[in-house]
Amino acid sequence: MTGLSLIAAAVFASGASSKTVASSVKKGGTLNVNLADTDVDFTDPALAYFVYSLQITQITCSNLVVYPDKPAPQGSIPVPEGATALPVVSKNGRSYTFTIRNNLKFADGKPVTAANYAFAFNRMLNPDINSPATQYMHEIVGADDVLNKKAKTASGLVVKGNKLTINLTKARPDFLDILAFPFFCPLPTNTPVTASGVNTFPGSGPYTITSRTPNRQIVLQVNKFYNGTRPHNFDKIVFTPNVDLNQSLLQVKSGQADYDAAGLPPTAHADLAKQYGINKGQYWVNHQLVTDYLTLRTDRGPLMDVNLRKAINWAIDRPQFLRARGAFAGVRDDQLLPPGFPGYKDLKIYSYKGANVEQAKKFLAKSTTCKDGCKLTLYNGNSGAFATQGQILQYNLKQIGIDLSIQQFTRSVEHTKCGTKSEQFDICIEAWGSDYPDAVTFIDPLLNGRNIVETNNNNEAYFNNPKINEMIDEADTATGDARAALFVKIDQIAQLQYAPYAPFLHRNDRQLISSRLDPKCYVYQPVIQHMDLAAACLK
Amino acid sequence: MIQYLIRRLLWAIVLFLVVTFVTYVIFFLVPAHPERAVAGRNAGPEDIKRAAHFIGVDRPVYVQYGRFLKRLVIDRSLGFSFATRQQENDIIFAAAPVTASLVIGGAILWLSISIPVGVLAALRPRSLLDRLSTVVVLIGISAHPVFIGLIASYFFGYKLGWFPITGYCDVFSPSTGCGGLWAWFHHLVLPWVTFAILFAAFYVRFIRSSVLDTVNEDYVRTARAKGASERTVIVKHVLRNAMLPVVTILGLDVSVALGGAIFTESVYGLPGLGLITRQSLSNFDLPTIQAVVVFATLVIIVVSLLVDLLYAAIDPRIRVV
Repeated sequence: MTGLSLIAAAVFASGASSKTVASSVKKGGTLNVNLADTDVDFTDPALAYFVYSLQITQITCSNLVVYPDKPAPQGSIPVPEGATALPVVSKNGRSYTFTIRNNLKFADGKPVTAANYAFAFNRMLNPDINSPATQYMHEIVGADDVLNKKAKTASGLVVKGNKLTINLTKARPDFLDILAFPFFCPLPTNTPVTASGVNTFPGSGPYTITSRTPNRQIVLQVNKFYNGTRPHNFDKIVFTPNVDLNQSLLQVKSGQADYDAAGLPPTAHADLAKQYGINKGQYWVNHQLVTDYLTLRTDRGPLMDVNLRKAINWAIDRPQFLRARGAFAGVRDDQLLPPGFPGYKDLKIYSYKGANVEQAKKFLAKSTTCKDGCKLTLYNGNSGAFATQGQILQYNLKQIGIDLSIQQFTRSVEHTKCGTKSEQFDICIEAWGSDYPDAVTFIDPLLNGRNIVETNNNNEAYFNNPKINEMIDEADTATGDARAALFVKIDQIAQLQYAPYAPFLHRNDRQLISSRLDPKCYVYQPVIQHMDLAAACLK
Repeated sequence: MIQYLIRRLLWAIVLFLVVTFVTYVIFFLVPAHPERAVAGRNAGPEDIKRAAHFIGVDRPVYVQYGRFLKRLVIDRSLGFSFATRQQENDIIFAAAPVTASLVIGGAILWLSISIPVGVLAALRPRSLLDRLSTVVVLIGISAHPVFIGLIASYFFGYKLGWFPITGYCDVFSPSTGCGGLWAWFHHLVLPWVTFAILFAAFYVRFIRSSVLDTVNEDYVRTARAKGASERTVIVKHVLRNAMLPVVTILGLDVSVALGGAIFTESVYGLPGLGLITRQSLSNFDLPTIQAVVVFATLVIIVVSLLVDLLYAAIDPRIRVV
């Protein structure tokens, strides 16, 4: 077994990630969480979208359905929380009826009713708050009318007593996943609708936010009215934003902080693994739903030739690309869908072990646009692993006679330029992460050609293939295992036959927790992709 | 004097307009679409268009700049952040006292170090003290504040536990778990030292050179010839004149110390203007960048004006017309 296999085995077999939490755990105390070099964007559930913000809203909200505070795979499957059971879904899949639990309460002691959910959903649609959640709400009947100021509330949200019915314009098999996302959090009906959102609101989950001073501190207290089944071991959780990454590591090592949600210094991982072991109590490595890849421009230039795109897929040295991100940064791969998605299958299409120059040259020889060598342009980020990976790519392509010119920009500029159709580039180095574990969140933005517009594209390969588009439509109507299998098939066909991308790794999340915390309470929430704060406890 | 003041104020307004407009134009020349982040990663064209309208970036640059000026002059508002949607006035007013604590405390520390060392080094050139100060100055100038900060917090914070590794406490009405004069002081000792080392090094060299120049002036020789004591000669004749350029440069350094504050605030997690600047640059948060620019410009203009007036008051040879 190779070193990498051992790491992969350790990740898959991760102690607490696959254990159930012990029944008797220590209650009380304060959990101190740092946020290195950043603050949350918002704590208002309608606006909170940073990963760290979602960690907070996830434990302060009792959505109709929630992702359980459990490791994968249970943690990826929505279960009823605010609702008494999973919804009654109409035969055409366009109507979801939930019955609200009658003993559910906000942190101020007031009951949570169906009206609180409907209010929160309409609040997100209100143009005055401009919530990013609207990207997932267009299928609710009347949602676009509210967004376009033609109505105050969406007609598709119907409250009758303790029942909430949500009517959709078309079936969305991933709708429960959407509702489990922390955006869809019940709120008191007097919550202000303001562009800046609210810093505090009465929580309905195991915790409630009692104070937030932007850039300084966020304090969560246990919700004493919470009577659900989710864990809530600490009395208090204190977030300290904007701590320097290196200082934060010192704090966690010394027990002044318990964990940094924003990460660790990239150079620290090898030493941390040596010192604490992997997944043995303090240093944890878990899979994220994130894939790093090269976008290979299919609509212009030499890369219009599929053989050239395949040649690049064979030519790149995936282990080197992975090493650029530091120790235990992820697993190499050649497909878009990462492990952790339902139905994940290791497709093994191209070379994992390193560059396969011979195979690459075979495809290059078949190429009509680059048979005797050619010049390509890479738009790339100018810092961190992206910059290093750009140089690795340049070297890899040189081995098969391709001259790569690198143009570097700050990451946000590079991302914008790569998303602009008129830009004159051939390759970009990008990463895509998922909001929830349904393959449509990867396959549709990256492979559905009908989404391509002039600017702000996610499909930066500008790949538009009618066959694949049709397959996406078909898969998006399926449910359960069939749905997962269809999306995996699309990924396979796209990569094998058309190679619009050259995926090279799926990222890991690497965390260090303090020695104060009990490892048996450590749960990696696979959808929020972080330690589950509600489940954490002291030794 | 009034004429001078009016002229200075008019130039200040021109400077302000130029600085803010250039910042605006630079931002628009850089093709980063903040509306994309506002709308969410899976947002469609309509969502992105709506987000662009919401944050006001769907209008031509001159219209946006005009609206910015109108808001600033009439509403006295710096607008709201694209990234966090907080009022910029609130962001600046929360961050400015932190930076002021760092810069003023740091300035006191660097002057406390550099004046005695610089003067003694000048009065005893090529002595052991002078050579030692040269070595310390070289280290101070060469070592980056991030490096000094990380080393200081590792030894004095993590290993010895004398000072907090990171964080800030308010003196009055604490917004976090800690507060009060002692907590504020305790949390700022390491940042002050880190911030002051670079400037102290510059000032030692600067003061040494200024005192050396002044010591050889005719009026110093005259004072000695008249029988004044060495103490009187040094304090009244040498130091008073040698400190004139120091006052000028101190005024400028304190107002432009924001640059140094970015590093120190980042290392120690101080929620000041430097940290906000760094965050807003990485988020392409134009209103916050603009708010910091406006604030820094105003500080520089006001401090420069005060220094000029103070300079005129200290040195009667200077006449303002």
